[in-house]
Amino acid sequence: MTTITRPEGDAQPPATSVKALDRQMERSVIGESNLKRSLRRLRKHRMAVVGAVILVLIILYVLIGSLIFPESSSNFLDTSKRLMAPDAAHPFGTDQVGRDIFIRTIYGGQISLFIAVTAVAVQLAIGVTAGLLAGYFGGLVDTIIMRFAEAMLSIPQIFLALIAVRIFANAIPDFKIGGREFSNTLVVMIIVLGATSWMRLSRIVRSVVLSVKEQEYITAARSLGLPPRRILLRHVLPNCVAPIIVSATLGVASAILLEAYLSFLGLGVRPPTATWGSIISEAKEFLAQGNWWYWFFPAVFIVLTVLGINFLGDGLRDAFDPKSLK
Amino acid sequence: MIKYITRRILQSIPLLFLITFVLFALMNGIGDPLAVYGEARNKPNPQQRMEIMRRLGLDQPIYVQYVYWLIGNDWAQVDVRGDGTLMELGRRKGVLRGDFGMSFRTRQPATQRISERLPNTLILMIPSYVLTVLLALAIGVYSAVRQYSFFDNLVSGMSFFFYSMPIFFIALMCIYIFGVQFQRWGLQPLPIGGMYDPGKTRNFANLLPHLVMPVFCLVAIQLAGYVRFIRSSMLEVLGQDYIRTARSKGMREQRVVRRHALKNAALPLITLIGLDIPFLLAGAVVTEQIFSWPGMGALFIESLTYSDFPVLMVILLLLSIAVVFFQLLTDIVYTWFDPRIRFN
Amino acid sequence: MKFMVSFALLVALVVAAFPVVNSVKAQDAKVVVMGFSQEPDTFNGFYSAMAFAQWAMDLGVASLYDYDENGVAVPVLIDAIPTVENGGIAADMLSYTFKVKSDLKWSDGDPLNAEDVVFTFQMVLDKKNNFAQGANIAAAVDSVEAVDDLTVKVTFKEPQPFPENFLSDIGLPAVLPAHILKPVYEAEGTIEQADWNQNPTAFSGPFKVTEWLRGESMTFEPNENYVGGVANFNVVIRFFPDPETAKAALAAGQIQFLTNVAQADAGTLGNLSPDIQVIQVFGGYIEKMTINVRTDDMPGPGHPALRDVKVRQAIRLALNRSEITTNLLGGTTAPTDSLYAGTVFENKNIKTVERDVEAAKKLLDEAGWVVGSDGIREKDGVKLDLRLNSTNAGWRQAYLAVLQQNLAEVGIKTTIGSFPATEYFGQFTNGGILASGLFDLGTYANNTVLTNIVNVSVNEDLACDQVVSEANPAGNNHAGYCNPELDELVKITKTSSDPKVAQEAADKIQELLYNEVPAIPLFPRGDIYGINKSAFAETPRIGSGVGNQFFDIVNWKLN
Repeated sequence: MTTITRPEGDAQPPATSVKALDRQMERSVIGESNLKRSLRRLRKHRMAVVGAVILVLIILYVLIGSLIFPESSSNFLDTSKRLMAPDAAHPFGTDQVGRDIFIRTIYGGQISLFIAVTAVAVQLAIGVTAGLLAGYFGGLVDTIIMRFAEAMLSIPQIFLALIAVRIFANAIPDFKIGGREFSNTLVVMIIVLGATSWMRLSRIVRSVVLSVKEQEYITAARSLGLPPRRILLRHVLPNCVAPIIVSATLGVASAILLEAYLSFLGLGVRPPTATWGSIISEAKEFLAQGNWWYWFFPAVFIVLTVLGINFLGDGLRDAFDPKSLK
Repeated sequence: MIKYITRRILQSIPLLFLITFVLFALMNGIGDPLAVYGEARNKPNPQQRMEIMRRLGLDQPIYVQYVYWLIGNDWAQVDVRGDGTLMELGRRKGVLRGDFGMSFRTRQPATQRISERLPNTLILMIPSYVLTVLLALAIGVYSAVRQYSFFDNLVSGMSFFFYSMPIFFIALMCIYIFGVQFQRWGLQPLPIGGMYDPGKTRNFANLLPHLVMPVFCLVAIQLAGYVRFIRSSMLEVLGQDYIRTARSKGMREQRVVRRHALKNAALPLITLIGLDIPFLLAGAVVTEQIFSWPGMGALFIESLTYSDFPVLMVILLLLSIAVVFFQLLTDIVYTWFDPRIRFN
Repeated sequence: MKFMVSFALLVALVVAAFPVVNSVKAQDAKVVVMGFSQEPDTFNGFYSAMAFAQWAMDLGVASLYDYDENGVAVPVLIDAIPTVENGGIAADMLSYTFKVKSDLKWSDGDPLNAEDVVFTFQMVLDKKNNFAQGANIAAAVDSVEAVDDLTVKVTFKEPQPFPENFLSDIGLPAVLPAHILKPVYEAEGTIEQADWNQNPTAFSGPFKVTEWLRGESMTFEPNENYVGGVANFNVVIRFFPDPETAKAALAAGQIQFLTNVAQADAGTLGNLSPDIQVIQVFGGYIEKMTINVRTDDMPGPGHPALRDVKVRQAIRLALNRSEITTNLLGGTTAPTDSLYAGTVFENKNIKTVERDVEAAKKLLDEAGWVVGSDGIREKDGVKLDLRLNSTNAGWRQAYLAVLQQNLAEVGIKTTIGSFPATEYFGQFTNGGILASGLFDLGTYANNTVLTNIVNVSVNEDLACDQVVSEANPAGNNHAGYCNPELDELVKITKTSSDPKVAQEAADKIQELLYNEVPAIPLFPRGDIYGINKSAFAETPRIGSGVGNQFFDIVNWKLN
């Protein structure tokens, strides 16, 4: 029977189920000098390039679109023109109250992408910090953080999200950025999505930390009396890049979808602000009536975004982890 | 080994208490169980509403409600009218004495409402989970072995397509195509919603057509995640030195894959399954709602809509216990697969 | 291939593991499959405030008397409706005497007589039962006795001119089977957790429940002992939590009768299939916009501008209600300004206010709210920025968007809030949106003004003693509107036995509300049903939702 040969100096993983899952995500040490090599590999990765191009095009679409059409036109309604098929005036047709779906996908896309990216940032911030602290300090810190993560993991995310929506909804005021007004539900969504999805990432990061902690250069750094913060940021963190990238790319996709589910349950971003997810959940009532354009265009954007991100994520993972290439 | 298991179980008890308290506190923030009367045609009058609240203990502070939930209130006086004129003893025994509370909605024991739904959910979730894992294994291994081939790209693309579609959307599409349009085209339509055709013998032949659409939808949206997971596990293993050694010794590719790679790639999969199985008990919230499947997910949403805390608490408690149990089980299975891991 | 073999084995294993339930025998009887969007919470009407439970119970439980689709009373279990003329109502109106029809039987063969009716009243009077219904009966009734086997006498504390409040489907939700529940009551002191509530075994109505699969379906078979005749078909109620699924099932012919169709679907449901027919019955259920006029000394004060009646009138003028009813609701209903619209008490002199943007602007200017630099009206530095809230139902979101744009055109900014029903209708102590005054304009539907098709009664939404406060947290008056004149008029409608006096008072109530605008009626909502024409030989008669919609079900003709 063959056994897994593990990287030199890897500590024997403690026996918790976390380890087992995480080992799969663990990557060999990548020094900073490897970064350039990784990027070069990424450029050669065909699917990754395709993914990146798709993403860039979508970002350009939502940004340039909003320069051409003012925000008010996204919410302007005319019920006498409701549910009209695509034509020259409304290239993507109109929705149930006669709003232009083309412009709504532009502004909805901004919100969807903004929510997804910032929610993932929150997830990364919490997950990486918790994982680093738990793994590096061990002992009581580790127990508390990991028990807490376990407690949160044992509750379905959608339920956590539903409760969190209720709790934060009245606590945060609306805000303005650059003259545009944003509803507080946007922030609520970001916090909710971020704060309910960091647990798996923190476990992965912790396991990576555990495995590099005992390596010679870390021990050396510690014996030199370097402060823990510096060791964590300079030496430990770079080793977590691969699992972080994988989590982040998957996270963006699942954040867009979770937002759609919350919209479906009537708890998404407050109307009339659109998101791709909320347009689709509105459109479901008209599925049987043959108003295909209502759901088709936002759906295409979600699929393209998720595909693009995942292709890019695959490429990044392969680039940082040459072992997975044959 | 036994010592380890005992320790893990003992460790999880305070965790469960913590979870229940946090859930209980949060639960009070999600809504008002009596709000159901808001749009009702026969509203109870305010005094009646207050009396119902007091009898259900909803006027008490959260920590008192938690204590009642835990150890019951058959030792405490309930001031029904709120003016000290009508006092009666509480009738609850508390979770620690096996009384999981009464559903606000139907005034049945909460445990009974759950036991009605749990088997239905398993009938839906187990086949779809088994199918997902098996299909994912087949596809994941194949596309790892043929990385970046046409098949690999096609399957990745397809699975991502389903992965990125909200399930309610896929589900409604299925209903309109296979339920409504099939009938119009003169094909045999699939039944829309429910588990059995009403009025017919409830056997497997009656059940199967009802299973097709929800299982398809669940498999469709879950598949991508597993395929991805298995594919990358396989890719990692295939890149290992010992695989290269095996190949260079002239071992046939199929044998390499099956004998060495698959076995090692299965380890993380087992862990993932161990993490996922407890959530099969929770059912599929959106799928069950759309396909009118009388399972736990539908019960969950219904209880949430009516803020039926006692039922929600039992569902979540059940999940927490299942999570703890299956983690333990996974660890044990894992040592069995990978002898290098020891309990210490 | 080995893999395929193990796969097949596993599938076989899973299949074999299925619990196979064999209980229902194949039936040849005709069947009407109905779609309900929610499952009844109980089969004891006193524990439910849920329309779906009421509807399911209407199939299995007969009331003392019912109403047909025109609001005409029809005796069911009693031989005549008590009136002063026939001596059923005592001259001082302090007691009713009525007779249960002779030789009535429960579906299990036990006799149904005065004992059951008296037992039911006793249960309502005993607070230990923790009923959700019947508080008004409990408060008014002094005593109940069985004069003989069939005759019941109910005595009140104060004169009661309206028997329907105490005896009909509207007042008394059901007659409980004493032969089953009395032993439970005597043993436990309450029938709150009686098994019968969830697993009923004795029925007085046209059908009996033969099977209740939780979360999935209820099967009803004809009750041979029903007083109104025996139906020649079975009924199955199936539960569809998602309305889209239910519509698809109707279009595919998998169900024949769909209840509770959304107003927005009334116009388009027929497009799904040529077999679908839409039936709409109005019963005084009105979608309206409540205006928060609470002042700063009350919990949850509304925007100060709303206390000015001119601003409220301006808001009414600004709304384009007919645009909503014609374009969004497919012309299935029309705007109204009478809170009794669609009932016999409607004041026909009240003309619906048409949209008039200029008039609205003028009123707002007069009230001192002038357009500011950003296009939003303001007064003394306060912006006219209102919270426009409702539940998160999809069709409400659509019309709120229209209202928002309407109001923006006259310089009123609104922020739409959408909440789950448990939060929106939650209690004051629980931070419920309406009860806690966390709204300026809030829309929802109910028929609190009219609880009864024959007498205008409780007007709780706008009654002074119902205003929500710390002291009265369960009050139903969310607007904070209080007008003693209105309370006085309501009292007349509640106590006057002279229909003319009652009608005059009702007319005055409508005029007063029209002028004061504490709430803006948007449009009456019907009870809408979708039926599959191919299943029915003739269009079924359906009662108004205020009473029993299945009052005629035994006479439905099926193909």
